[in-house]
Amino acid sequence: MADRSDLETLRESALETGADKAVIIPVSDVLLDPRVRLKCMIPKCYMSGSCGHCPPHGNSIQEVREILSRFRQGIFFQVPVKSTIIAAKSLYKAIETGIMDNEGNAFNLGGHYILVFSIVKLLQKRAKSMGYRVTHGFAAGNCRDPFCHLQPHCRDLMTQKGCRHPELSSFSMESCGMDVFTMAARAGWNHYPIGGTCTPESVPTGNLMGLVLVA
Amino acid sequence: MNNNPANQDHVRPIPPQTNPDQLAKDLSILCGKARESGASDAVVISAGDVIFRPEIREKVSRQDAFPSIHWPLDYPKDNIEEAIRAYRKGILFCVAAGENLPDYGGGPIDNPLHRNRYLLVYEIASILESASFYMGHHLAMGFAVGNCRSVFCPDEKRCVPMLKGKPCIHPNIGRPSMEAAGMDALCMAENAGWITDESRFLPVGLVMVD
Repeated sequence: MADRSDLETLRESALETGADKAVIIPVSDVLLDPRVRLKCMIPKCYMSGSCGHCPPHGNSIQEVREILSRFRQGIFFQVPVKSTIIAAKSLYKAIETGIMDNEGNAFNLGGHYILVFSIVKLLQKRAKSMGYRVTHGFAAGNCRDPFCHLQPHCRDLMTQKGCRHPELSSFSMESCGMDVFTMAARAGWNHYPIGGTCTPESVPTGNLMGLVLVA
Repeated sequence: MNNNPANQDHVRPIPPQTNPDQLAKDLSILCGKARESGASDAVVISAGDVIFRPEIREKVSRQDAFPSIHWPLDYPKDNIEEAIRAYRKGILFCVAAGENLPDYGGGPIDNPLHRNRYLLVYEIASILESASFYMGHHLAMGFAVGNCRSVFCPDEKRCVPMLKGKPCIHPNIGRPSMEAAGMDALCMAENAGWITDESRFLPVGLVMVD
C-alpha cells in the first residue's frame, strides 16, 4: 500500500502542474456504473466508434473492476475550464463541423484536455520514480481530438500499428464507466452538466477530471 | 426538427446523492413536458417496470434488411439490461398513432405522415433526456421507437457510423428504440393502462431519468 506522505506528494504535484483541486481517495470511492459507458453511445457521442479509447471500444466494466482490484488508493484531480470556453456557442459548431472556431474555443479547450492527460502521465511517472511500479491513469474525454485532430483516423482503431501517442494518451474515466460527475460532487466540487445547449451564463464553470491509481 | 429542446436558464449542479423529493418533483415536471411536447400520455415508471424479453431482440435481429448502428443494437462489451436496472425512475410516454399507422419494425417508412409520428417519439425522448440532464440527472437516457435510420436517414445508402471510424450524422436526436434494446414496449404500454391491440400500433418512448 502506498505511503500516505508519498500520496500527499503526488497530490501536491497535481496541484503544481495545473489542477486546481486534488484529493487522495480510496479505490472504494471510484464509482463504477454500467450506465456511464452507455451514455457515450446513447445518444451517440460524435467520438463513439471513432476513437479506440472510446466506447463501444475500450475496457468493459468487468475489465475495469479487475484493474481497480489491484489498487488501494489514487489521486483524483480536476482542471477548471472557464464557462466562456467550455459552454461557448462556437465550440459546439466546431465540434459538429470539425472546423476550428475563429474565437479559438475549440483549440483552447483542447489545451485543457491535454493538460489533464499530461498531469495523469506526470503523476504516473513521479509515482514510478518513488518506487511504485504499478500505476494506472485515466484522463478525460477522448484522446483523438487533442492528439490526433489533424489525422484522418484513430490509428489504434483502424490499423494494426497501434496508438500514435501511447506516451500521452490514456482511457478517460468515463470511457471506463466511472461516474466522474458524482465522484466530483462527493469530493465536494461543484460540477455542472454542460451540453450543446448550455450558455456561458447558465453555468459558472466547467471542470475536467483525471485519476491516477497507485499500488 | 427540434435539436435544441431544453431551456438551460437554470442548470443544476450534480448532487452527491439524489434527493428523492427533488426527483419526484422533476419527474412530475418531465411528464408535463412530455405532454406539452406532443405525447398523448406520460407516466412515471420504476426500473423494475421495464420488461426485457430476449425474443424481442431476436425479432429485431431478424429484421436486418435496413440495418443501422441502432438496429439491431449491439454493444458486446456492455449490458443494456444491467444499465437500465441501475436507474430508479423513468418516464414512459406514447404518442397518438392515428388510424392507419403500422408497425414498420426496422424497415423504411415511405409515408411521410407515418414517419412524422415516429419522429415525434424521437423528439420527445430528446427533449426529456436533455431536460433531465440539465436538472442534474446526468445519466438520463432516452429510447425511441423503430429504427432511427428509417426516420432520419432513409435516403442514405447506409448508416454512416456502421462504417468503422465514422460518426453518426444525427447524433443529437438519433437513438436506439426500446425494441432494439430488447424491451417489450407494447407490454409496458398495456401495464401503463394504454389501450393497445394488434391492429393499431402505438408508438412508445422511454427516458430513464435517475
